[in-house]
Amino acid sequence: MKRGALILDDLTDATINLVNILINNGFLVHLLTSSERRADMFLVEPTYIHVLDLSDANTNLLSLANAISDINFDDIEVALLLSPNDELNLMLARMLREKGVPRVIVTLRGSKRVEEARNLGITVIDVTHYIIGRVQRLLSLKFSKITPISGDIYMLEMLITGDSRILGATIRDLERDYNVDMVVIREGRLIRDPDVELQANDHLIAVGSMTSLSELLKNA
Amino acid sequence: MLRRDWLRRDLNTLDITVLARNDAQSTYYLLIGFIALYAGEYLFLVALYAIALMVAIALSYGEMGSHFPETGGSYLYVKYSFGPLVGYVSAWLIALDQLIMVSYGTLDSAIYLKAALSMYSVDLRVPPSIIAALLSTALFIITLLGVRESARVALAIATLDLLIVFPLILFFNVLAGLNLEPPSFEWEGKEPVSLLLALALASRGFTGIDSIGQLAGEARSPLVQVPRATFALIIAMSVVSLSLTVILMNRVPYEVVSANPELALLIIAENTPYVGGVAMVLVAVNIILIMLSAALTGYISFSRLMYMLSEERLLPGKLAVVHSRFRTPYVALIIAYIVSLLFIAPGELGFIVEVYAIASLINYLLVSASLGFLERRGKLHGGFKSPRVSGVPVTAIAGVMLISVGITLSIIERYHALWVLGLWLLLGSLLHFYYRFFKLC
Repeated sequence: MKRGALILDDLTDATINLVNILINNGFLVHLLTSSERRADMFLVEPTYIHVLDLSDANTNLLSLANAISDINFDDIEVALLLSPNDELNLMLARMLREKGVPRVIVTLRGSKRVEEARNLGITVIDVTHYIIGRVQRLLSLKFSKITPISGDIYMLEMLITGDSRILGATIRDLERDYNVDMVVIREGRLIRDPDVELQANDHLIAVGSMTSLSELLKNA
Repeated sequence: MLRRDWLRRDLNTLDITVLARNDAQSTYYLLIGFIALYAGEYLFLVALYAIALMVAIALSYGEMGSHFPETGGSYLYVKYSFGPLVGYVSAWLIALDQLIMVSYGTLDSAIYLKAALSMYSVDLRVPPSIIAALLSTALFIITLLGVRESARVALAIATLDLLIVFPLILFFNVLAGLNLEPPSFEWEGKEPVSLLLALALASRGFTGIDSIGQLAGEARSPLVQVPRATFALIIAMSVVSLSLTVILMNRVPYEVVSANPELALLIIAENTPYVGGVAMVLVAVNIILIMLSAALTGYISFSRLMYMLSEERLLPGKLAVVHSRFRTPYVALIIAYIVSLLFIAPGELGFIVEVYAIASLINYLLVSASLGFLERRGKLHGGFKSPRVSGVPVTAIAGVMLISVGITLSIIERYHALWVLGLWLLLGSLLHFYYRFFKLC
């Protein structure tokens, strides 16, 4: 059967690369883009190119629905909505879910939109989250992130700073006190020795329940 | 899970051009003698009409094809503008001519083979239908092995035709001097037997050009390759067809070609100054190969069309099954093989000429009309955009007008052959509705 993929252009090389990857994996790609000039860049690819008027002033649900009415959504397996316009991404994602597209992946910013999308069964790439995380890593700023793994198992990632309350604590102490499993990354090396004491600039990775990890984070 | 059953994108612009060109040019090679017989001194004007119609059809296909990256050709185009049912009818119509193309290609090859051998006093005592059946079997195996291999065969044949045989005939005829006074040349006063019939045949003179759209699913960059191949096709076919027509009307007496219209090109070669003997052998080999190439394209186009229709859930999914090793739709190819044998069995080229191409013309009309509605349906971007008149492409306007004339002429002259078309449509309707009903149950 035909495997269709729909991509909303983000106007960067990312879309060009993704179109290529999907085609090489046997997908029939429908590209939604906003100008004929941009569309010309995709003419060498074996893809359907739909040129839409995506300017903010004209983008509403009805005009968007009309603009993509020539696409047969029965064949679309996955939609990647990567435009820098979050409102448009979310609006289109909602519409595609309603039309029965099984997997819709969007890039979004802001926790409210992310939550709304997740509630609709939309897979979200949280751009804000990635930007912040990257900046924190680059500048060695204090940060923490809890990521769901499976069921009630989560992963805590945290940078230990000079003012942390757990400086000097051993891995063994923390694992016992908070009922978590833990490793430390120090200067690019993975440390599992339970007697090692935490230092400033260590990356701490802990796995456990949300309650345990939240408790650890609160006291760190 | 990664799937491996999609068709390979192996064809470049040259591959598409030669596959479609051999197919469409072969029809003119087949019909030129018959058109000459009926047109008499007006042959050149009738040829100009045939070329104008070919250009209109090719441009409609080229512009429409530059928007669609997948296998399906006219079905996709018509479906996009008019919905799946009309799309199915258009595809089913063209499928008939693709099957007939396999039959006439192999049968005409067999006739030329016998004629060529008779030049050396070798009398093949086997009827042409048996030879044609053997040739069809060989082509079936080639297409089963893979489209890239088929394209290589087509390229070799086109090279022989365009770079060796045609230049040889053209050069020595021009060298000996040609009367370049159109439209009658040396045929002045040769009354046409039936100008209407000549025009009706000429309307179908380049049938097969549609295969250009069928190959998009296997092209590397179809949105740009299809229009490029279209322009290359138009130039190649116009030059070759007009030149041969002028040479025929200069070198061959009307009475000679009228006696053996199916061997017109062999007669042209025989009458080529200085190199008649060599040219005859080369033309015989060339026509045999061109006809085989057309038959090969018939196999490829029909199987890809069936693949598409079954993927669209309009026909049973079995037709879309791709061979695990060769990655070709082998079930559809087997059907094409069996049906080709049925058409070959009577061994009658005249019957095939009667029924061939009316279905294609209706399909071409639907494609041109679809192009007219393209921009009203959506905002698909393509690699070729002709000028617009009130928002409608000029290629669509020219296509609808000229093809309508062609269909009218064909129906007037060939109304007694329409039962074949009716039967084919009935079969298609039954198959489609039975499958839909069966699927729903």
